[in-house]
Amino acid sequence: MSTRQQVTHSLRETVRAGESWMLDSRKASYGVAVLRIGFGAILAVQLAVTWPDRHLAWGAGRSFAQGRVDTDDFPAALDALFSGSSPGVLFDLQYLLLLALAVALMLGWRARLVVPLVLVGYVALVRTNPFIGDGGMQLMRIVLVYLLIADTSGRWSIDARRRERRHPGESRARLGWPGTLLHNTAVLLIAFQIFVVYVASAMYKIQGGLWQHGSAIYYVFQLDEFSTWPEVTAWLSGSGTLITVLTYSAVFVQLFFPFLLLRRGTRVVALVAITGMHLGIGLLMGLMYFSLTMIAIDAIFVRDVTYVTVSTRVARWWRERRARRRAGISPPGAASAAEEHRTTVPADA
Amino acid sequence: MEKSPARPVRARVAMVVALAVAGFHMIGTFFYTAPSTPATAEVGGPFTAHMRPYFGQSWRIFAPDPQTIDLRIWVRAAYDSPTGEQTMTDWVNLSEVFNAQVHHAVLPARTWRIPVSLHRYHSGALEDLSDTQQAVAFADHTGAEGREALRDALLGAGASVSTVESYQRAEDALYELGSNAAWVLWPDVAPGAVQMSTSTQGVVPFSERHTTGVQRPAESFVRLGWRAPLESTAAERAGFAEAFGRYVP
Repeated sequence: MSTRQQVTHSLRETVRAGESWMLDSRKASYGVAVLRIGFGAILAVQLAVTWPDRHLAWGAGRSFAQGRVDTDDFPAALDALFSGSSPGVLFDLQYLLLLALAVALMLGWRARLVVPLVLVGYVALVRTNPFIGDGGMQLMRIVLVYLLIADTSGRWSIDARRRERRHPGESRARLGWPGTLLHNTAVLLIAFQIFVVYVASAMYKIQGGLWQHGSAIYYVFQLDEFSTWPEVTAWLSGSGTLITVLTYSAVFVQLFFPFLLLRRGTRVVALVAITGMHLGIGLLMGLMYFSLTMIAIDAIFVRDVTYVTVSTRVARWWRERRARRRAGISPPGAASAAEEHRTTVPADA
Repeated sequence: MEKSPARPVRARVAMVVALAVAGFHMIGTFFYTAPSTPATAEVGGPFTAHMRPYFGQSWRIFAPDPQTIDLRIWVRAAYDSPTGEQTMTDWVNLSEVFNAQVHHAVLPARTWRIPVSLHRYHSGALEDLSDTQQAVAFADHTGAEGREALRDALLGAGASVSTVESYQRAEDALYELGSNAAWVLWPDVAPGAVQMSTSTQGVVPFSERHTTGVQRPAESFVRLGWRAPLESTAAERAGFAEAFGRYVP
């Protein structure tokens, strides 16, 4: 083969692989399900926890924020849902409805309808108080827009169970190739969005002297607003080495995240490290909703086969445990052979 | 060589369109979020026109350097005592009241960072005023006509209409929070006027953290003038008091 033929051949192969990736199967189908479950749970918990404070957060008590709402870029039509000045009872009902929709999102019930409803309700609610907000709220809004075109309830959902019951084995063909194309486009957009978050925040950080000096995390820990566990942060701040390691690893993990995902070995390292970083930030700095939102989105980078393997193992362990409890004794490995037989792994995993 | 599976032409066309739209949006996201470059100014515009409001985002998280000062907002009220004497309450640190809500909380209610955001919002608007105009904001403008008096004085000091509007929007937010807080903090008096102050305080520098007896730098205050309490409806006041009342120790 001449060089020219080789180049043409490899180009054609690349295009074919790309086409196949986009059109032949729905990518990250379990990851997107975990993302959907995560978003539903995060939103539901936030709304439930903020229930006693809801009128100050997003109801009539947030009237001090109205000036900013009047000049924001969102369509005024959203006022029809949450205006911040509706009577208390009506606001409470709307709030509970959004909470119910968040639970429906988590369970994957009528997802094609629920995802847009959650998006609109969420944007309308959060918009009423721009003084409450963090990167997690921005990301949830953006990723919910992408989820409009994704197949969010293809796995681990009430929708999937219902379809399986009605048309066993046919669930993958829903909406055919257009559905697959849109789903995979959404996966690409979500992945790109999260890369942008990590790489942009790292690029801003490396411009800063305190990040270069290795002491940035110390300063964050000193602030009133992030002193959720002052005892712990005071202890961490005692060690210069620990502060430097935390500061530098925060920058490096974010900057190199997209590249670490390329190979399986480094992908595991990247996901464990970034999840640890998020949990640390969430716990020590009171930013748990932001952190959980990031973790939920990162879930799309875990391969379907990993989710299937883990869930199969968990299911088996659970059945064995139940069987042992029922029998009142625990015969070693007695249940496992039979259970192994019953577990089915989807063909495309 | 493996033959490619039969694929309808329309699937291929749709894929190209989908990738083109996604690619356009990705370039827009890149320009919108990346540090500003000459390329952003030259070619970024058309790609980012659609980003706001739904794709609006900023990832300057603790960057380029993390904030090294605490931002606080304070309120006090003036009222007539039963003997008819003008009396002032002590200053109350509203940031402390809100911050206590996140102390040892894994999943805090969403309200706790309101004072910090409000501080940033007001400081940004105040910085847009010249020194003379800031002096106007630091002066008292009480009574029913106080808001108009402040507006006229700012315009008189050379501020543009839009600058005055955005400053007053920020000040109203600050004073409305302060007024609603005052009703809860001092339930037995009817405040005739409220005064707000913002403050910043640095932390102990990293290199001095082990120094015995080291103190944080002194807190620095920006004291605004007295204003009439901002009018809010009964529902607004009740909605605020319901949660804030629980925060007050």
